[in-house]
Amino acid sequence: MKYRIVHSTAYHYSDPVPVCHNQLRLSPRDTAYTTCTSHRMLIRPTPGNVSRRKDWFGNIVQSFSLDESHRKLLLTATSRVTVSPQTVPDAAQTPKWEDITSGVRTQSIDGWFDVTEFLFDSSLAFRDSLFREYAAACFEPDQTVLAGSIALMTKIFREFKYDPRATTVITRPDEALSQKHGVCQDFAHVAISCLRSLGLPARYVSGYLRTLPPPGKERLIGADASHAWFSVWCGEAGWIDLDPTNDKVCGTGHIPIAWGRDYSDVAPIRGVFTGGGSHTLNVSVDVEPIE
Amino acid sequence: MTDIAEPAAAGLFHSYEPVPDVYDEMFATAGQCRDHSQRMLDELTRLGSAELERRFRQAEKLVRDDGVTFNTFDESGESSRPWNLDIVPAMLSIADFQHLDQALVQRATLLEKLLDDLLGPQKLLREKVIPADILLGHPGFHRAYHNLQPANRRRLVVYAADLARSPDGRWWVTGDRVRSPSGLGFVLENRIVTSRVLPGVFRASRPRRLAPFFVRLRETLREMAPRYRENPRTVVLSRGPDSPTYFEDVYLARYLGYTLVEGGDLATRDGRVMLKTLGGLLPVEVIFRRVSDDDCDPVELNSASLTGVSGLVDVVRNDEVVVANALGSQLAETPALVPFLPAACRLLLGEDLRMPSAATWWCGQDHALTYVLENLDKLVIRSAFKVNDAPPIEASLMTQAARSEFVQKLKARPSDFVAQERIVRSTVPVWLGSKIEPWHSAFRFFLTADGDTFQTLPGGLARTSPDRLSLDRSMAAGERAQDVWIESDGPEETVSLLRSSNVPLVLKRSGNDLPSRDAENLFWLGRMIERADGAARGLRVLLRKITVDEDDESNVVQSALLRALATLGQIEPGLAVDGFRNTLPDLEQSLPASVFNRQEALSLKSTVDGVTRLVNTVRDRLSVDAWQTLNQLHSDWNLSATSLKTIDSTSLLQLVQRVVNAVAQFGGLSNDGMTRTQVWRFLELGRRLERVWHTATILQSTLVEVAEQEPLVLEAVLESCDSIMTYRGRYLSTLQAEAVIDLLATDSTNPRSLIFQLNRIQDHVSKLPSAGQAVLGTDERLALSLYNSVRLAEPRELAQVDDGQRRSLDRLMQRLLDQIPKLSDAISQRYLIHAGLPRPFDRESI
Repeated sequence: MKYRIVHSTAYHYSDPVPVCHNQLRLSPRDTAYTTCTSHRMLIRPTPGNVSRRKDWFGNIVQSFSLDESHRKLLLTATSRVTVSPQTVPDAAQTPKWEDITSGVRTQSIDGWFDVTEFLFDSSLAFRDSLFREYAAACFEPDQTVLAGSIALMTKIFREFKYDPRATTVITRPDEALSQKHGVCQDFAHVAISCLRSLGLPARYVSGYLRTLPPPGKERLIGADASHAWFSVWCGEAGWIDLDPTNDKVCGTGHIPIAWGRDYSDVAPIRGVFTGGGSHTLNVSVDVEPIE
Repeated sequence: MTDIAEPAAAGLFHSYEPVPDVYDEMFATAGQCRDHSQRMLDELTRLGSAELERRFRQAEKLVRDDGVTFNTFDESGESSRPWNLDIVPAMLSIADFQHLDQALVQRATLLEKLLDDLLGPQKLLREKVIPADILLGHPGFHRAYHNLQPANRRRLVVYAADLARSPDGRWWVTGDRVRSPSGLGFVLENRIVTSRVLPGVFRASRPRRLAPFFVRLRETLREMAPRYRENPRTVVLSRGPDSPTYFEDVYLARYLGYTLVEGGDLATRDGRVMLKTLGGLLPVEVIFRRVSDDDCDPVELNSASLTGVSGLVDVVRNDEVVVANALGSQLAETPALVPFLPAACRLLLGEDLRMPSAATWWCGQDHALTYVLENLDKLVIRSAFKVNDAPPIEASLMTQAARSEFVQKLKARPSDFVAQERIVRSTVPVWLGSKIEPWHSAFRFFLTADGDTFQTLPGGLARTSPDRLSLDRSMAAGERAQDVWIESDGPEETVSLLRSSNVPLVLKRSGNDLPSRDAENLFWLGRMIERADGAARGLRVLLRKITVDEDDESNVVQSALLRALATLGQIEPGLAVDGFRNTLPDLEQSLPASVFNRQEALSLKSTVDGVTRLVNTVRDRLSVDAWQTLNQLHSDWNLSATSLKTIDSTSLLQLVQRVVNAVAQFGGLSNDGMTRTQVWRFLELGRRLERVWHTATILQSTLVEVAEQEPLVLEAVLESCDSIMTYRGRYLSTLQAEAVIDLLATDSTNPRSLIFQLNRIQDHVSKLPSAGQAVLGTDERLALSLYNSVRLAEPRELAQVDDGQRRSLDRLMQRLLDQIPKLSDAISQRYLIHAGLPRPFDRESI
């Protein structure tokens, strides 16, 4: 599949903003099965210089500063991404989850070093007996890691209510778990916290989702949203992406931008500004299949 | 070497008994002084006990005068615990220092190489020399630190090691400090005080000098600059006056000759770090930071931090500024790394660790956890990752319930904890007023980068306490500090921190590179000082009337003064309204409460506190004498709650008099000693503006309504405005309103008159950095117009009375009182306004 994705963000401030410093993670990274063939970032007011580098996780970061006073800030990222179908391993053939847990803990399994950091607490996903108990039913002894993770995904999908007004970008996963509601980000954080509590490496993926219009309707332009899901490490089979919001193993409809330990590693816009008074934020995302 | 040792039994150390089974730094056994301390012992003995006590008091006073406190100020403006310095130095031998030096240079080198690896290729983790969890699960490992700076750039410009000496005489490292080790300022202060009160002991003992170390520190920072290596602009980045080490930040900045800044004084522009000054932005090459790594940049590190510089990490990444110690260095002080240092040392340096660390177990390893659980009562438990002043966990001191709760916590998250063995620390002699006793000691030594190695400061900091356990708790623990003296093996070279260079300096009459925030603080310091002076003079007149308790006549004066003081915010307005006679006893009681009312922003106590707070923020801009004058005032005014209750008019009068004296002294020092830079100009502007406001308030509230016995009021007004002597000199005892108004308002020769202040203000404003353009700035226009309005006023007309009122005087004073705040705002707008606080983006977007 090929996509053209337009992601626009607009800040309107009641008072002038004399200075802002920003780091953007809006440029889709290349992965084993996705390639970003072009990316253009339009920033108004135009900054003097936009630098581009890869962060620790390999995500693409664009940085810029504005030191002329402004009342609105517009960011439009236009990306073309090719997604090839990925081969998802047979869940029953993946290693037993206990083998992964002990393999990474004893640093004896191939690939342990690169996945180790996804075992620990980060600001929005952390280990707790709360999560271990919640996930226990999905991870019976001798269950395979992928089958258990898929069961966990389905459990979250069934038991959690999707409610965009219930949470914010900094809602903690224990809170989301006790309330059983939230958005894609909360579902991902809960799943990651569950997996880490069991000693399994799990990471957070931000990206886009192709949405299909209802039968017989035209596709609405700009009605899409940025999306998030989680990824679990399955040993030799590598990282497998699972989407608890839609109860789906990720396929050609999922387009990753960046990954990290949790949302705070991959926030699309990070930085600081001064002044500004109160402000409004408008985001529109359009995911258009072009081939 | 030593003279023939007199038996110590002769004097001071006669009854000194080293603690059994503990190493004593001075005595090998009772009565047997170690060779390297012999001269010191002889000199101290010669002084004798009474003299030593006198010197000890002297040292206390010196420390107090210099304002050395560990925590400078709390919210209420009270200064907190002062630094307690013991007069007896802790002396170490040449052999001891050689060993320490070699071992600590090795350790600093190891930690720097360890950081190079952890923040670079991470070979030690991949090869399992160090458990990967310790870095990858470290809450302080911001990924931005990885590969941040060019390879082979020095990371540790200053390193400090905390040491203990065990009964067998061996040294152990109990902690590593690499964030921005504190203590160097205290070391300097201790040395200055100790050598000043014990000059004879100092000469006889000939300890190694400290200055060469600081020269090296400065050279290292200079050599690291990305450009302008000849004389790079270097700043000390402080957390500000609320920081526990603010004293030291100021001290070091001044000693090293760097500009002291806070995060808000720096900005990143066009890929560089800039210092915001009155004259514009100036590029900064080197930042010597006193701020934690994580708090240095809200964009890429801790987004909630307000002490950093937005965008700093990106500038470091592009190698356009050097931060010392390098960002991320704090990872090297991680307690969980300690058990793995010997192996890392063999791998990175190819040699064995010369000095052991106090035995440490990281509970993240199964066998370590088992050991720790079995030996819990013998060990001290700390966070595995964080080094802070939180007290360690001592299971032996816990109740049974708390203990088992803690064991649960430890088992649930073992990798969050380390356990450390206690060391029976050595003792040093401590002066206790009439005798000398052995107290346990904790040592801190400092190193600075030097070429491709390190240099150890031949001195250090000793903390002492009779309770050896308390020393394990924190840097602030310990009841006394001691200066550490290192025996020298030859005459010491004298060095100066001022560097000579072959490149000719560009001569300057500078001032425009004053940071905007300093200008703002100086401006307000000027206003506060003058406000304190005005209030004190008014109160002094009133208190004299009360204490002398004259006849009826004084009531007229009292009511006029009370009105003026109420308008100035010095007393509660109620006091000025009620009948006078009846309120007299009340006044005597309620006046101290008013003066000391902290809730009232304008009360004299609040003003004195404000002066103290501000004077500490601009301490490095003032002369030591000027600073001491105001610091002393703060101490005098820092009454305990009990003495506040019992204060009477006479002692209040004394306190008020102290304010007048201190301000006069400060004024003299700034007039005579301060170069006429923008520093002086902003201080002056603040003072002049406040004085206009004060005098106009007094004139309006006392002379507009004509009082019954006006001459008495006129006299009080002249006294309040410090012009009584001038007046008597001119008109003897004839008191007339017109002459008084002329002297205080329109006489340009009286340095207390309104016109004099306005003339100065107008002159200052026209010499500020952006002034003098074709179109006048708001501040310049306001200053000129105020000057003209008083310049054109007629004293006779001002004194003119209609229906018992001086309307013309009222109008002019009202105009001044309306316009002065506007002028103050205009100056602020033009020169002093800072950008607001940084706000994070990522809390609000998705």
